[in-house]
Amino acid sequence: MDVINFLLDGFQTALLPHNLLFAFIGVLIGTAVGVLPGIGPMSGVALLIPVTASMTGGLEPAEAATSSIILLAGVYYGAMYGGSTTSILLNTPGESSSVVTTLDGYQMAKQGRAGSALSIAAIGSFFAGIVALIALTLLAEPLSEVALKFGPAEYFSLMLLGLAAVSGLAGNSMTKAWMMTVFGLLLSTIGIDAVSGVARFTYDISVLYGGLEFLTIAVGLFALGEVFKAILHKEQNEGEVAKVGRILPSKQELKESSGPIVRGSLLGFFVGVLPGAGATLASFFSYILEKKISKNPEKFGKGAIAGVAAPESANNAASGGAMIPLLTLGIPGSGTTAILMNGSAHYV
Amino acid sequence: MNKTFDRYASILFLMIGAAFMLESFRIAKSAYGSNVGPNVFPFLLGLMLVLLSIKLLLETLKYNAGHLSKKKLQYKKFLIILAAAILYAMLLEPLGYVVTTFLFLIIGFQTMEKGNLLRTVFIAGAFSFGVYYVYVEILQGTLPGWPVWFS
Repeated sequence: MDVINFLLDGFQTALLPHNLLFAFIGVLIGTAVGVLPGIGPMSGVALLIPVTASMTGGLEPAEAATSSIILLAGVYYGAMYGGSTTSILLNTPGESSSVVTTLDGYQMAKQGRAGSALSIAAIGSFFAGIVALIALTLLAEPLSEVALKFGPAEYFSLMLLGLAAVSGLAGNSMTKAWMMTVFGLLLSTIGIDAVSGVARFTYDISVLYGGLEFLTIAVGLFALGEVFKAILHKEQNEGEVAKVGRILPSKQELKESSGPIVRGSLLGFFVGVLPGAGATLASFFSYILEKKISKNPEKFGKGAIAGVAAPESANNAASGGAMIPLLTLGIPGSGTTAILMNGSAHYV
Repeated sequence: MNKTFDRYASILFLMIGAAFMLESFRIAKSAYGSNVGPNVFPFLLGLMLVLLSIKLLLETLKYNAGHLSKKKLQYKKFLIILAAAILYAMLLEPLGYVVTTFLFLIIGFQTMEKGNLLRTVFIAGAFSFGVYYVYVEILQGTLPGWPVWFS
């Protein structure tokens, strides 16, 4: 089986000592980034792309590229997990995909079960990561065969679907989402037109000929927007730090959360594959699903461990699923994968 | 949702869209071998932005004005920090990273929380030197370190 060979080959590369070190650094930074409210996975990955270039500078170009992608992917996954910590302990989600975790996670922390909640979040994230990895390997090949048959017309339709999905699923005002989508497209027309070579909106300013850099806009809008919002509202955080207590979950809790973890992983993965529907949506879906099929739905919101396990697995599986359209079709399924694509494009 | 904010935002984006449409007339209309010239996309996108802004403007009329939870926003602090950030970006190249970051952090800390000047100076100094050291010496990145006349 070719797939298995490639998978083993991948493990061989990933398990090299220096790559393990890079993965560790990435996950460490990512978790720290996820814990801090305001800096989500998106700005974390964006900020670290230039740093990876210099960190891997001593290696051969091909190896450097592999190590940088490992580091960035580590940041991505770490941030997806790190967001749950503050959700559970402080009732403050570190990023949008762990908003649902606060519902039950903080309740558990108040009951003195913060340790179990944290460990279930970690176990769920780990399991979901493995599921997403296996599915990624199995699905990538058939999908990439489809991708080879894609022509300009298909790509155009897929991009259009992606843009429509992103705007349609975003937030509470669809008009605003559409406005920002169109505004972003307008900004991308600045610079030299790729088809005709005509300079658009450059006004003889030489820096503008190259167009606006995607990273600059992403960092400027997301990071600065969050900072300015924090200054304007100057949130006084009155949450108390809950006691962690025992770290390992009890047998009963493990039993209760195994089902939600499996279901959350599978659901999250498939939601992640869809362009536009990201980890946030996956976590909400899986929480709703668990509440629907649960025998006693009234326990949700009052510290049900399934309410922590399912969304945390789902958001990690979704980040794996989002890799599929990125790696096979070159279409990012979420903001973070768009930045990851930009990062890998530096090395290709 | 904030009614006033949304209204001003919609007017602002209406103007941006109109400006893009107007300016797109100054771009060449023809492209070799294609009927779609380089001016078409900016024009159409500008038109869409204008239409969507009008839609948002109409939507703001329907917001119920009842829930006006007036939360006092810290405009003064925001403006100070915004001005400091713009100055920071402009002075970064002529003055270098260490000096500008140090000054920016002092202004930022003092605006957010007035108080112990000594501690502020210490933290700002440690941060600007520390980041410069880690980024330039250990990670081999490039930053404009010091003013040209200094080093």
